[in-house]
Amino acid sequence: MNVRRLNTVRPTRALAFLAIVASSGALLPAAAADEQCPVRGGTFTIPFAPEPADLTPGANAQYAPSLIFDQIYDTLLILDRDGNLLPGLATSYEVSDDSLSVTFSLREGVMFHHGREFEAKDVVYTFERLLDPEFASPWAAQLGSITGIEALDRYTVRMNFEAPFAPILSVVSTAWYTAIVPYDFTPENNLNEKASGTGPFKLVTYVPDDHVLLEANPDYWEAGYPCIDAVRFNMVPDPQTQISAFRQGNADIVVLNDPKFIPILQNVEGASLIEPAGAVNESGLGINTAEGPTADVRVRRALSLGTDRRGVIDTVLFGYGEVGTKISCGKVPYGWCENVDPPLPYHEYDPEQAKALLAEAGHPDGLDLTMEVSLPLDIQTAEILQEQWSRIGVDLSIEQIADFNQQLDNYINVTHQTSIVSLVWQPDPHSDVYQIYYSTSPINLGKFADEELDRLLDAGKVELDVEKRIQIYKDIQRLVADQVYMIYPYTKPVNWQYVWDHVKNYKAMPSGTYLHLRYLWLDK
Amino acid sequence: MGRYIVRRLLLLIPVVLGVTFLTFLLIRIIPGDIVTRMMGVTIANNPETRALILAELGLDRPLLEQYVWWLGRIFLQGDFGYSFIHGGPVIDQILSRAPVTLQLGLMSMAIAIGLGVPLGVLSAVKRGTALDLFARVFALLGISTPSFFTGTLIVVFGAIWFPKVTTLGYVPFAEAPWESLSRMFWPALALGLGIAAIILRYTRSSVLEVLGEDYVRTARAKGLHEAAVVFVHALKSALIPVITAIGLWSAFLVSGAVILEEVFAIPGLGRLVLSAIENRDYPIIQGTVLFLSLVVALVILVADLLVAAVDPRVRLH
Repeated sequence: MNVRRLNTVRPTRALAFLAIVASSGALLPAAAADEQCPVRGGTFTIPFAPEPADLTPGANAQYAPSLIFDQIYDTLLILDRDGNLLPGLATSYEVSDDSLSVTFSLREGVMFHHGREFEAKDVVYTFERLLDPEFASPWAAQLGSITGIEALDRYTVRMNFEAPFAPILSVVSTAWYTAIVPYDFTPENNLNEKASGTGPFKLVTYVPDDHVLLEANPDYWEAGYPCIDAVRFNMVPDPQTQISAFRQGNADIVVLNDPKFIPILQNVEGASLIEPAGAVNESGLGINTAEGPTADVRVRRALSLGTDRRGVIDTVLFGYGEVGTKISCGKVPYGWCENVDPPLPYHEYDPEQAKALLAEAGHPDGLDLTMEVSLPLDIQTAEILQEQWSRIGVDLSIEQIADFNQQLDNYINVTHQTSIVSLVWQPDPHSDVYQIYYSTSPINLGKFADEELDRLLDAGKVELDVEKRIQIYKDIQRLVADQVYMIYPYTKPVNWQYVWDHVKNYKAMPSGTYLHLRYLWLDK
Repeated sequence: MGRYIVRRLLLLIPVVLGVTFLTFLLIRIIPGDIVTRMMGVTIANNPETRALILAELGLDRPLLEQYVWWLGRIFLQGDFGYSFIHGGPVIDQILSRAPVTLQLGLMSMAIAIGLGVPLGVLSAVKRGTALDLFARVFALLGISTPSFFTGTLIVVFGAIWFPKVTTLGYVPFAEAPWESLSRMFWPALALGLGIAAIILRYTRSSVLEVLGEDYVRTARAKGLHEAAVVFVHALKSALIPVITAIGLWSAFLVSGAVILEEVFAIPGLGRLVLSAIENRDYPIIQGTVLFLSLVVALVILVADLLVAAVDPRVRLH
């Protein structure tokens, strides 16, 4: 087999890779236990919503369960908060010259919670299960280009593809998609109270609507971790109640999805805001580019020029957001970052040019538009845009849809003129943009039909060279900004997290996962 | 009496049929479906996968057929079905949550009666005084403030002013009785205040009416102490409409519990049904609504029987 390391594409990357691992101390033996965990023990309590309902990996598309089972299972690779791929259950990987197969070398001596050693068969089982029509995983289609996965020996697996599939490395680093499950736990048993993985924590109990209790796995392969004894996810549906639970000392952390809650906690003594890991959520303003006045690119450009993005961020997010596009700055290394990357066309607020464009498009006296919204942040954004666009002569009427699912249906089928939905974190730039921009995609968000865009999206899907791939996704963002296929009024971190000062060595992840639970320690 | 109970129980059948059929229809009318919930929008838009999942869940059959099947299984086999999401039996979920909501309901009722009846009596006896005015203002506020608002105030300001007091969450009574009662006190208070206000008003007007009756004048004329007149003679008949009211307002208690369990993070039947609605977990929604409507109907029946037992003027047939 003619293989080369992907890392040779960027010669410095292999070294950087090792250096990061060594400096984090994550893979060092437990010899220096006190340095790793100055204090051991304690339970870390997280108020959690929404109800996970089912903790079976790969069974459904809900994100919340994966935030919990991420602790119970491992993935082949780990994506750290800076976008580096670190070794997980696989210690290294090789991509073949034709990019049609990826070979993973597996870590030896890793134990499942039920006491058997992890081996190649488990990886094969995990992927075959996801692809099995009987199991009906939502990820089967994502992994569709896999033609086979085989165990070469006890500690080596190879995945074969019918066409190069660049997102695979992100996919195997995301527990939401590919948490590795043991082959000798049938899928029906592999849920809720009967889970067994190789992760840093074991499932003790799941009492629906009450709590999920995990205890530290003493045999975890990152020797010496976790520092704490247990993690308890308390099911608390209301954000205000979560904050109260935190203030009363019934939680070590509180995760805020809306920055309006930050001022409530700002002056609480002994609590501090963890620095968010970067903007990864976009406010997605969908535009019907096929019908009505917005089919004219000049009208769309006028709307983009008439949007004061900084103004939206300062009012709706109290300044806790960033100017961005679909692949936002937190999604290193693919994201577009303000003041780092070259400015995007029609992105800077310019009401005069916007008015000129509208006049050119045959609307010298302005025009009427409608916008659908349903969730609070989106409603506030629409209200600000209504005010901003009135200055360029656009009279925007806001239609509030009571049921979010109804709005989502409209959004996907593009039955609106404009509509705002907050888009969620995706592990790979391909999954970020392919489905929503591709002309034949069932969830194309604006009735787009742009051959150049399709060509770039296809190129990004198969390009395994990271440098070239970065360029492709920057080109996509530039094209979308130029044609104003969508407007992204703001991007923001997935959440804001407050912890008590006794919580040490905890970091937030861009995706909102709790990767650092295994490294944190409690000074109390 | 026996025949009356049988007739009332038979009347439950159309009530239950109506409630379950409405629930069955309503949850299917609301937008967003189980397939989208499980598979995400990308996959749910694929017709093949959609058909496969709908068939697996039995949702591909005609609506009426699904309804008859569901009802038939419950009444012929006692089988409430299985959750769409985690596959567990629905009845297990309901039975494990029922004690939590029962505790919340009983404690709120205790608070409501404990506050409402004495204040109502005092307000009537001391009619026109400052105490009466206070009680009436309390009643007005209690009736016009929704319980979720009172609950949110307790949650938010409780944490700011009394950070040492735990107002949230649930501990089973059997595990730690004191902890269980003290935590449940706050949501029970939020829920009980509204009903206390209603009971207060019923009690007040009912006691006022009774105090004007001839037999009360006779009791006074006998030279009985005023306390004996009020508490022995007047209260006994004055409480009869109050009992009816308590029975009727137990339905209000159930709807309030659904919201307060959400506010105070209590794992009761209300949370069960709300999570199930979010997840479009039809079997859980249908099962819980059926269970709750039966409970409310039975509580109202028991209240009516109690009235008949206390009030010699009421004959049931």
